[in-house]
Amino acid sequence: MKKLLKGTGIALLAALILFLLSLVVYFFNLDMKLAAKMQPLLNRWYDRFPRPPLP
Amino acid sequence: MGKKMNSEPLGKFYNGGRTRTRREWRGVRDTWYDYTRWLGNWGSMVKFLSNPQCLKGFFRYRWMQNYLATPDFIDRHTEGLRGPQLRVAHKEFDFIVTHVCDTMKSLFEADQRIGGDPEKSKKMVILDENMMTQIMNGFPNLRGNCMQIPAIYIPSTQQQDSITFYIDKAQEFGIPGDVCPMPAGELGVALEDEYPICGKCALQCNTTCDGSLMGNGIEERRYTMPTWQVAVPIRYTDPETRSYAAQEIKNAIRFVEEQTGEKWDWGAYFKRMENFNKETEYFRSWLEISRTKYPQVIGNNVALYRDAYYQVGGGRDPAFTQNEKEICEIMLKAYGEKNPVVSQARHRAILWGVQAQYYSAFPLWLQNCWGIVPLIDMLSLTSTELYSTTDKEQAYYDMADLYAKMNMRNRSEGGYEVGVEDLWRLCQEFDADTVIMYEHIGCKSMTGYHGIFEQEALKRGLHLIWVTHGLMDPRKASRQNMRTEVNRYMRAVLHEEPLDPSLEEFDDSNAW
Repeated sequence: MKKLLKGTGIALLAALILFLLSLVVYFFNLDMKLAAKMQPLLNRWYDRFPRPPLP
Repeated sequence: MGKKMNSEPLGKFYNGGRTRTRREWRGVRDTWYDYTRWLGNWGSMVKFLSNPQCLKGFFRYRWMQNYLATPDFIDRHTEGLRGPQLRVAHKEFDFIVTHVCDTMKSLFEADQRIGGDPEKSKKMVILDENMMTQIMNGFPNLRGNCMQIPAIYIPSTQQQDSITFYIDKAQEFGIPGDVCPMPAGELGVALEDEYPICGKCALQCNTTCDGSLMGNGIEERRYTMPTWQVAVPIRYTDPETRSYAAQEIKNAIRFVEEQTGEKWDWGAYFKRMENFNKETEYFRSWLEISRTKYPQVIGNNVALYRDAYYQVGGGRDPAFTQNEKEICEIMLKAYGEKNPVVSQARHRAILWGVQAQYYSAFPLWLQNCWGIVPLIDMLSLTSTELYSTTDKEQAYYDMADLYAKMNMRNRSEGGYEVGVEDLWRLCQEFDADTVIMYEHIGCKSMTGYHGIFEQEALKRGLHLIWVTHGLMDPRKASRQNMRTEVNRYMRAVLHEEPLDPSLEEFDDSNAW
């Protein structure tokens, strides 16, 4: 019983931390700031594909 | 910072960077709602990318990176909104997110370039961008898919500079710099060989214009499948064009039958048209409320969503119908409570001309900055007729009518009556005192009307504000250029002060 309570407590705490973290990410627009940083890297990746000659 | 509209200066979130400094605080209730919808949208996108084919597609096609800005796109289209308007916006835009994910999933699962299923590819008919899709309503075993919508059309609204890369590629090929950036961008994708390889056959179309059809001719060289071109009459209001237009539809159906081995199914067609008619009835009720003193579904909450269900949905997806029913419920409740859509409604406006794709959130800026209520836009004022669900011969004429009245060409083609005269009638109907007149630099179809618009508006005592733009190329006229044209009119002619001065001038030149 004690173990179950402890497990539930840990799960609830983890969920609470995740929830608070997601609120911070949401409010400070951190998801979009990270996405903006990814774009130059992705462009370098796409540049690697060979292009066929013009028709 | 609060639950009321215009309670915090929205321009302060823009610092010249790619993203906004933070999200808006809308009061506890609305911020919580927006947060849950944000989580839901990320859920849809993570689910999409958990499909191995979709992940391959993401890393194969350059245009896919634009979708990283989807949450920012939704933030832009909900900026300053509260209560029912925020809910309607999320109902629409979140629905589009899941619908687009589904469309792209079906494309990538059939894409031969990244190891897709050949059987799924054989059951797919590729449709042209800006092509009405009702022709697929009679082929229940086939899937109509447009490759240009996820590659060009949607990205152009997600990130303002999303397709400049492809426009440049088309110009390197030899296309002049002054053509419409939409077919130029589409052609650029073809030249870069960045369309998925899928589909049994393709239907191309001259909607929106003949410029688009000319680009298609070159694009076809990259397609590895038989292609048929449907030529819809430009002067479609002339009754003499109707039998020709119906014949074009018959020819296209025969082409699909011959290529795929499928037979046209009238039962399926009529069932889906019943759905389509239901959606039209909901749209009529939106318009009816917009004519009153308390409009509810306006501006951005009409424009892009109307494109989605009128043109792309076409009655095939009952989820659209359900979504519209729920939107109507929100709308009627808000109307009953006389809910205001802006903090101070100063002008009632009709938006005419073709909107700038890279600034599709412009109507929201009109609301937040100047209290201009954008009641309805030209592209959404398409057909509101109810089409036959029993008469087979009439159905060909109905489909032809819908093709002629596709969003982007319904009023820019068709002549003086639908392009000019209707505007004054609509201003009366909607009790509008202002016309926001979009002028797309690269489009010649409405240029000839310029002087007539000015003369007639003056005669009627309407405020006509020109807003020049480059459709999908912000290098031709920036978002700030568009805002400045309105700012000048509001200050110099009307001597008004903005509701939110921080929105009058701010730096979003590098923003998504």
